[in-house]
Parts: sequence; structure tokens; C-alpha cells
Amino acid sequence: MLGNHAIARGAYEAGVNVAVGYPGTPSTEILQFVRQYDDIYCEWSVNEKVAMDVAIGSSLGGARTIVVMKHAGLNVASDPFYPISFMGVNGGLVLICSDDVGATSSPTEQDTRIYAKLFHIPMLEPSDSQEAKDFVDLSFEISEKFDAPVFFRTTNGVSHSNGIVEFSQRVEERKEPFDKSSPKFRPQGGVHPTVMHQNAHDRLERLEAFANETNLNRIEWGDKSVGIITSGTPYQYLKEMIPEVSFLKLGLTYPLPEALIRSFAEEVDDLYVFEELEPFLEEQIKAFGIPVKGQELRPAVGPLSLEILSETLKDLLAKYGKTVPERPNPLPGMIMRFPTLCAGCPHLAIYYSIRHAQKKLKEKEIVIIGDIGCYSLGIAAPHNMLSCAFAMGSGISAAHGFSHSLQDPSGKAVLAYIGDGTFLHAGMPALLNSVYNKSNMTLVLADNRTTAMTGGQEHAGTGVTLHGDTHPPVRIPEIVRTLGPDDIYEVDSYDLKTTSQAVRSAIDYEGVSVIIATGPCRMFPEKIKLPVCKVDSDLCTGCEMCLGIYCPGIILSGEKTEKGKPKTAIDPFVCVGCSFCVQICPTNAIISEEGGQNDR
Amino acid sequence: MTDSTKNILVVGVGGQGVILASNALSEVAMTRGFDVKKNEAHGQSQRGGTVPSHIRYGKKVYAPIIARGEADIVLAFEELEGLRFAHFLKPEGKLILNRQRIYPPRVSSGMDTYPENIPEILRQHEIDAIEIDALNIANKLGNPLVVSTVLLGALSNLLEFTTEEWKNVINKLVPQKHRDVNMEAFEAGKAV
Repeated sequence: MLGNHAIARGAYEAGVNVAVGYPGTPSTEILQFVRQYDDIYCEWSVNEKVAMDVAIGSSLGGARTIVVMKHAGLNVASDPFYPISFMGVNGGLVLICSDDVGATSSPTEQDTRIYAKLFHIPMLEPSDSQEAKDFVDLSFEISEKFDAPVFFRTTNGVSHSNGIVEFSQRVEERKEPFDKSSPKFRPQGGVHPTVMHQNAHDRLERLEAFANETNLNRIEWGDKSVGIITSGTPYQYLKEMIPEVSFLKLGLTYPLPEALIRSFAEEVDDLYVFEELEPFLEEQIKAFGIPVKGQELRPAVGPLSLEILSETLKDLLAKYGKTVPERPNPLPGMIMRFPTLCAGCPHLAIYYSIRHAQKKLKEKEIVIIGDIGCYSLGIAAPHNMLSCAFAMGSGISAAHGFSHSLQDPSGKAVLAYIGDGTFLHAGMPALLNSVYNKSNMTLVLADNRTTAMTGGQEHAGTGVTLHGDTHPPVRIPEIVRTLGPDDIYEVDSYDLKTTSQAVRSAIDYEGVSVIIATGPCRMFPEKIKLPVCKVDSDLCTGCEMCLGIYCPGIILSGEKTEKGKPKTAIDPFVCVGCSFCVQICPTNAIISEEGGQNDR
Repeated sequence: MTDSTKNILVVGVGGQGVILASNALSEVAMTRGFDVKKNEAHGQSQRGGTVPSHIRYGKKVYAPIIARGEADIVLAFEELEGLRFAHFLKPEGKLILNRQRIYPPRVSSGMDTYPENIPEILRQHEIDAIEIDALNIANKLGNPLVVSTVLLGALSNLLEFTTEEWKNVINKLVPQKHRDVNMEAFEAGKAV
């Protein structure tokens, strides 16, 4: 069972009533699996801060609640999470956060464990699928016993690995709604924030006593000449490599069990700590005055692996008669297979139209600040469209700031590029700010009607909820109009002429312009395959203009023109029939099978 | 039951059936009573990227990911991906190489060159490869989607599970109306 599936099962067994969150790799599948349990109300909230607020309200109402997100999402949700961490909970509240270690699908690599310390709350870290399930229930016990939200932290190593999982029955746990006259949740009015802060420190002391006793933290005695303190996936790697030595396996990684660590350290000769990313455990252990080896033996970035650990512990392995297998290098001749925008993707068409506009706008250089979504792939070659992209909804405000900072704005055209999902997540206040503070910028809002990057999740603009309820979708053009920019264009993403013209007019306009380009994702919520296009080889002059779309469906045919230029073809298995390329071809060599020639 | 853990790396391109094949293998091993761990790339692999799926089974399995130089078998759904992951094999490990090519967009548009002589490169580096044209076999059976089952048939020759164990699992994983063709595909792969 996938780690993320096991977490969903754990939530079911723990009697969770409400599950909320926002999609993000590697956490996305958790709520998608929760959806299968009818006993749990679940939703994609519009962003992680909102999800956290929903979860807090749900806890006040007495429900056992999980709130799920990826590491970057926790940065967004941290504002409301901080006070609730100090106030405490009513129904158990568990934050499930997955760190994308290795940044497989994130603009950043981040170790969120540091938040546990900041929030003064307990943190649990499973190391495989069975623990991923079991630890959810334990998290709720701890949350309710210690009156604290619990931080349940996973990494891709756990979330995206499968292991055998034994199930238990669901327990039903629900509290009465909170006493509205209680001072507990009223900072300043009921309990002064400094008192709450003190309470949180007192709670940590009780939690530390618990950490020393709970079997979440366990010693597995082996040869006492070597002791390893570890948690999560690194535990699994080390146990595989060198099961002969002694382990202190931590499941509750904050607050640390000082007494347990001290007694373990006293019994072993050489003490090691292995963890991924920041030296979170190591610094605390060293602060206890216990000498330990760790950081100097491992990289500070990326996931640990059998390769890395076996190399660094080669001498130790030799002591136990183990030789490290040869680690062959990749074979020669290999080329990369980069993730790419799909054939017929509306972003490919819009990007092409922006480049088309740039050619005609010789006096101004277009600078695009991007955002988070499939179009982030446009930050890389061959597109090289986005000069910067860093956080959800941030491109709009960054473009605004950039436009205001220019000493000579005449040579630059400042664009922001965002998708519908990200606009609804955090782009709306940013656009409002640009309008309010009189920006001179153009927002390209590419509406493909789904959250495509994470696999086509529903959002407010789709009108479908995670639960499967449908209602009229929010209308993005109306939101944009309400936010107040004067210069608005609504275009078809696949209409080269109109989109390119809109980009030029928007750039000419002094003030905030918004181009809403609408065209559906070809993958989600379901694949769209129209009759495919083809290249009439006799008419192809090898100008390669169609290759400039960077559509995976447009390929070299292998034939050459009389002048030796390579002709192009369209792969019928890859083409989805968007027919954007029909508009590009100067010799009308590309025909849509429906018979159209430049007929859009 | 053997004490040592078996490491099988299944690799291909998104949409080829890598996940189905690795699920079938995990299920067969689990049904036999082995402990099984599996890890596969999520996220950007859906965008035409490489899909590696690591399966490890044995009496007790800890690590979910296979280290370089430790795979017993690499089952490659595509030539370039076979080349990419061949160095994961143990010296005595075996590569099953499906002779299918899926060109990355950078190749199709002339920015990269697809290596022409992959079986030859593999031979030069003493990789023990079993070549199979699973797409051709699947097409002959009238369903290009059974490539994955053909390759499982080929894989089954190298593992300890019986044909019956495999067929029971495959029957569970494929839609009922495609069962017969999948059974034929398995046998055809096994016969290679």
C-alpha cells in the first residue's frame, strides 16, 4: 500500500470526520484516497491557509481533523497554525505535511521539521507504510491528551513508497463543540498570549516526559560498539545495510527524548545520527552535550540513499564483513528525457503567441515573472519563457514590484503569468494590490480549468468539489473585472492572432492589463483527443517554424527538402488535434484531418 | 522462502504500463508470503518523463529503493530507459530489453540524438540482455496495450513464481473483457 494511501486509511481508522488540504507533491494522493471513505467529509480548500482555518474550525466543532499539504504549503498555512499551536485544540487536530526531499516537483527543497520547534508542538515521523497508517491514530491520541495540534511529517521516501499494511477497525471519536465561553481560544480577551506561550513551554515538558516512555521511540539493541539514532526512511536504509548495530529509532522526533538518548549514548561506544536535510536532530543532541557524528558524514541536501550511506560507512561495514558493491557509472550515449508540456497544451500555444508578440515589439523587451503550475516548465529550455518563478500567486506581485523599481520603464514590458488554480489560490489579492497601487504590468491568466500540475484536481473554477458535488463554477473573468483593472482581454488560448494582438495592446496600455486566455487542459480532468493534424510533405519547406511551438507531437519526418532542410511530420499517437500548428505554417502544409487549413 | 532480498527495477516512459507491471509483480510476491516494498516516481513523470519503479521482495525488506549495482533484474519497457538504468544491475544481473523506442521531444525536434545502437552499447559493457519486441507481439495479439503483460511473461522466466500464480494476479488487475488476451500475452512473453 502506498504510504499516502496508508495515511488515508489511518485517518479512517482514527475516526477522522473532517479532512481538508491543498494538492502538492508528494502529499496529493492522501486526500484523493480519503475521498473513498464516506464517513469523512473532505475538501480541497482554495489554499493551505484557508485549509488550516477550516481545520481549526472543525477541531473547535469537536471533530477529529486532518489538514494535508506539501512543505511549501505549510509556509502559507503557518500564520493561523502558529496561534492554534499555542491555544490547543478541541477535537484532535493533525497537520500532515509531506516534504519533497530532492525537489522532484517543487521550486524549493525544505526541511519543515524546524516548524515543530517554532510551533512548540509534537512531531511524528513514520518510516514506512505500516507506520504511516498506525501513526495517524497515535497522533490523535497525543493531540487530545496533550491539547496540542500534532505535526505528522512525511517525505517522498514514505509518501511514495509501498509496503504491506495490516488494517484495524475504525473507532468513532467525536467531542462536543467547544465551550464558546472558554477563555482558551481568546488571546488578549481570555488568556494573554504570553500565558499561552508559557503554557506551550509547559506542555513541551510533559511531552518530553512522554517521549522518553512511548514506544514511538524505541531502542533496538545490537552490537553496542555502534549506536545509530535515526528516523524516517534513513532508518530503513540503515537497518538494511547494518542490522547488527544498535539503533535508537525515533518516531516522535519533537520534542526529543533527552533521557532516552542520554542512556542510549552512554551504552554505545560510537554514536551516529543520520537524518535527511538539516541537522535537526543532531543540533539538539549536541545541545544536550552528547558528542555525535552526523553532518560530516552525509550531504546536507537531497534524499539519503543506500549508495550514499554505504559509501560513508564503508569502514564500519567492513568491520562486519560487508563489502560495498561496486557502484557502476551510467552507460555512455544516454540522453535525458525531461518532463515536458504535453502535446496540444494550451500553455504551449500561449507561450508561442507571446514570443510572436515579442517579435513585433522590437523596442520593448518582455520580462515574464511566472508562477507555480505546469507552465513552470517554461522556466527551462527550450521554452525559456519565465525569468523567475518561486511561490504560489507570487508572480503577480513580483511583476508589480519589478515594474515600480525600473528607473527607465520604456524598454521593458513586465508580464506575470499564472494559471487558474494558482490565481484562485493566492493570485487574487496580488492582482488587487497591483490595481490598487497603480502598476504598469500585464497579467496573462491561462485558464485551463483544472489543477493540472498535480494531476487534475478540482478547484472552485471547475465547479466540482473533492467530494464530487457540483455547483456553478466561479467565473474567473468576473473576479478579474471585480478586482478593478481597466484593460481586460478574453482570448482563446489557441488563437494565435488574437492572443498575440492582445499581448501587444496590453503592453501598450499604461496600467494593469489582464489577458484571460481560456483553453482546456488536454490531460485533465479527462483526455481530449480530436482528429489529429498532419503535414503534407510536398508542401513542407523545412522552415521549422512549427518546431518552434515545442509541441511533443511535432517531429522531424526524416525526409529532406531539395535544399537539404529537414521536413517535419506530426506523430498521430501524440497529437491531440488542438490544430494550433495549422496557424503557424506559412505554406499551409499542416492540415487538420477535419479538412481545415488556417481556418481557426 | 529465500533469505536474500530480490531487487527488480521496472523502467519505462509514462503511459507504457510500468505501474501495472510493478503492481502485478508486488502482488505475486506478496501472495507468496514475501515482504514487499515498492517505490515509484510520481509528479512530473506524468509529463513524458522517465518512470522507474523499484520492487524489492524477500523475508523482511527495509529499504524501498534499489541501489546502483544491486538490481537482480532491470525490466526495461523502452530502449533508452534500458540504457539509462542498466548500471543498476549486479554483475550477474539480467536486463530484459523491450525493443521499443519512444523518442523524447528533444529528439523528435532535432535537439538531441537518440542513441542508435543501444543493444551494442549494452554488449560492449557486458550487460546480459534478453531482447524482446513486446509491442510487435502485442500487436499480433491484436491489442498494443498488453505490452506490459508480454513483458511480465518474459520476466516470469527469471523468477520463482509459477505461471498459475502470475495468471491469478494478472486476472485480478486487468478488466474482465481483456483477460483472455492478457493470458495469451503472458504465454507469448514467456515463450520468448
